[in-house]
Amino acid sequence: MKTTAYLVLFSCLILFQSCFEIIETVFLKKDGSGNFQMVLNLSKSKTRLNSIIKMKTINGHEVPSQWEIKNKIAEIEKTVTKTTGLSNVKTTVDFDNYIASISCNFTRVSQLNDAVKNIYTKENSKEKAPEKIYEYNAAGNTFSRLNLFSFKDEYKKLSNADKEVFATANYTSIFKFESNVTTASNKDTKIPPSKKAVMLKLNTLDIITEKKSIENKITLTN
Amino acid sequence: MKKIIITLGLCCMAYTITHAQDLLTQVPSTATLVIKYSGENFSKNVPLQKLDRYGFIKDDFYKTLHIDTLTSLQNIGINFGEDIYQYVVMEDTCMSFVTLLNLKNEGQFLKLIKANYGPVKKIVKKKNFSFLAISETSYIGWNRNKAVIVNTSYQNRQSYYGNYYDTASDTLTVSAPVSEADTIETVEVMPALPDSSADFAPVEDTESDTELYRIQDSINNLKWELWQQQQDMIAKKQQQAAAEIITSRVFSGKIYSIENDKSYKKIIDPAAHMSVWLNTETIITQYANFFNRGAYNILSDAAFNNADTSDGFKSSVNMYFEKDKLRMEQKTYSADPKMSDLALGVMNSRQNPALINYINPDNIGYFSMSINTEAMANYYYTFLKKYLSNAGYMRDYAEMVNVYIDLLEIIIDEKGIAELLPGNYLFVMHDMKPQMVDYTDYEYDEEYNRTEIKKTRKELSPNFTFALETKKESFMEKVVHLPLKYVERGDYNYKEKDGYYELAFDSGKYPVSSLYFMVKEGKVIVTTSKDVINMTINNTAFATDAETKNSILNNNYSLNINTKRLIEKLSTQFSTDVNKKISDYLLANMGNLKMESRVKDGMIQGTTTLNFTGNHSNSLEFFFNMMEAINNIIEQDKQEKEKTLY
Repeated sequence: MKTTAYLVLFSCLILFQSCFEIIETVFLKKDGSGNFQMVLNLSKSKTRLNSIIKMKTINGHEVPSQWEIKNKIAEIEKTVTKTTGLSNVKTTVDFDNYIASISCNFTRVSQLNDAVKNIYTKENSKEKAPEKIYEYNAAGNTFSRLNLFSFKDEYKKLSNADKEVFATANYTSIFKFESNVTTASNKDTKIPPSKKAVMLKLNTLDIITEKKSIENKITLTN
Repeated sequence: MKKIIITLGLCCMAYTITHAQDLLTQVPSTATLVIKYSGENFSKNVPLQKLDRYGFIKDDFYKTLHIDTLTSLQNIGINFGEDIYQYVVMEDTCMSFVTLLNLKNEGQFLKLIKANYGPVKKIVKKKNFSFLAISETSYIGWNRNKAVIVNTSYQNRQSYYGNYYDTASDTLTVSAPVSEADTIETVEVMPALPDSSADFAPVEDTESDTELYRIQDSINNLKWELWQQQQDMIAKKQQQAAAEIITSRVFSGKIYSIENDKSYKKIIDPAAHMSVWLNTETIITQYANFFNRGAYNILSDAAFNNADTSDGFKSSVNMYFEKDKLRMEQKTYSADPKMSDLALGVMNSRQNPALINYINPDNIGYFSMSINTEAMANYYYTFLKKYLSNAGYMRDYAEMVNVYIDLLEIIIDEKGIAELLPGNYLFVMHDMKPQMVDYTDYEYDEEYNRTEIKKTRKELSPNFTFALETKKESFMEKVVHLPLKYVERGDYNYKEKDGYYELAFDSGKYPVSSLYFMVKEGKVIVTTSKDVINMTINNTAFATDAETKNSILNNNYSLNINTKRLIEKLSTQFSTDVNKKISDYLLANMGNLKMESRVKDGMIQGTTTLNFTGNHSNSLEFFFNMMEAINNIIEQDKQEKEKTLY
């Protein structure tokens, strides 16, 4: 079970045509502290998952048991908890609806980068972990979501059946701020009338094929 | 004189042509699998000119054969207008898969060989033919009229460890198996090391001890490697010898052909467009061995040394590529009257008409099976004796196995089993209806605050019934009643209702919402359909059509799949364009699949038909057209996706 945490959950998805959604939420205060939450919602595929989770393998992929999934999530929670500066780390997994989530508080955005780096290093000890996925420049009043991962090559290696799973999957990011948003670099970003948040909703296939990007640089007012 | 020469010449030509058309005479009677491809397939059903035009043939098959796209399959020297044969045979210590082809142009065939294997490979001129070793396992032999391709695999690799521990002498020897081409040869590999433990007292490890162990390990590794190399050499030698024997027999004509075998003639139709004949009882063992070709000394353990001389079952499939359907005729036959009677006894059964009542007229498919359970149990005793007394280590204890199985026969009450399950079963897929399934989604207000909401979506839910006949109703009633006792401990929702039982699943959590169980009037019913339960309670029935009824009552096995209906239902779940396009194509071209099997002319015979619609000359062309169409859809989709990727 030394596969990546993503793959453990992801292999479930790849086994059957299904819909899933990843929701990433960050609330950033002026002092650079805030709250982070990531939700993986497989609820649309729950009838199939209920049947598949009872199997040992499907199409040559190993099906993780509920216990293995819970264990993997607990391991991730442990790694995040150990990351300096992060507090109130909580994970949930609901096997009735197949929704998993992780949330935590941070005092500096860089701590989220450290947590991602720690998880990545634990799962892929031989590969170099990404340095940053978030960047907050208090002086310049900018918050950036970076994307240093590329799944393009891995995607190309997948079978047609496996590729199909991404066709209906979505990624949503919501970033909220105490200050007003002036601009967002990603043209697919939506900004509400209050200007206190941004939302980016994309199809995962567009992200993987690099047709669209999750990268976003948000400029805030003083 | 001139007339005599011309007459002789004509006779020789006539002989050559006749000989070229009759490759069956070159298939040995020892073959365990024989496949025939009628020349009619590529002269009439799908002519080579048409075959050349298929994109997937040009893109894939041509590449595999290393021929350029301008070359036609008509110009590679092979006479596709004549029958082609393939067979599997156990020759000596090798299992070989042999292909027999008629040639029409030796030069073109040679060009094809050179294109595939390069000019470096050395062609050996034998007495009546040319011979080329393509690899250690593949060989080609040919003359002006025909070609033989042999893919062979050595089956008697010896275990290093077995020989190492069994050899008491100071030298390690390798014995090559006896073949027609070889005599026993003994090769000295390496003098064995003296037993180090005898010379050295168990003292603390020192540097010199470590060094000694290191040297000993190196020597042992080297010996193991040498042993493997030697086994590879033996395999190569044996494989080439087997290929040469097979090839030379074909060209010398010294073969006792399977065409004279009664069991071949009886079940193979020479007019079939394609036929497969197999020795059912040995083919499975040989097939398994082929994939275990590295296994050690397989010949001394497996069924190749079968001491049983009774004639087992031979099966055949004769295929006909007819205008609007593919028809396959299956036959199973044993020349041994005892074995034949056992098989016919198993088929001595008729479906219970009460079960047919569960087949709704617009069903997606059904499968009906009616066998004689008591005869089946009796057949198993004979089968087990035959199998176990010849298999591996059991062979030496054949008499004991015999007694043990006789004892088993005394203990087991076949009549009792037959009363519990007489052998009549029916499965019906009534429908696949969309059922509403709830799921969790999120809604966002104008400030992107998230609220969890419940939504519903349509998902296909199978609606099926499995029914079987029983004469031990009280026992079956106990079985279906049993889960009630453990409801609380088992954490499931199982309830006894008015004459039936319901296992209810949490709403929207599984593809089916309830499973019903019922035992009534000699029937056990497991179904997802409440209608079926009500129907059984009220003693009513579906209006099953006469054709279905006749098919079930007149056959031991009857299967029907309404392909169009099945694709229609499944296509509602397809989300991508490529799958939708493929399902549209299949919907427009596929017809129903039907299979029936019963005893006819003292044999088990079955007919399977796959109908098709659309614009195709015959079913062989339909298959090529279908592969071409699906390949085009996938390729087109791939190209569109590539455009987005790069």
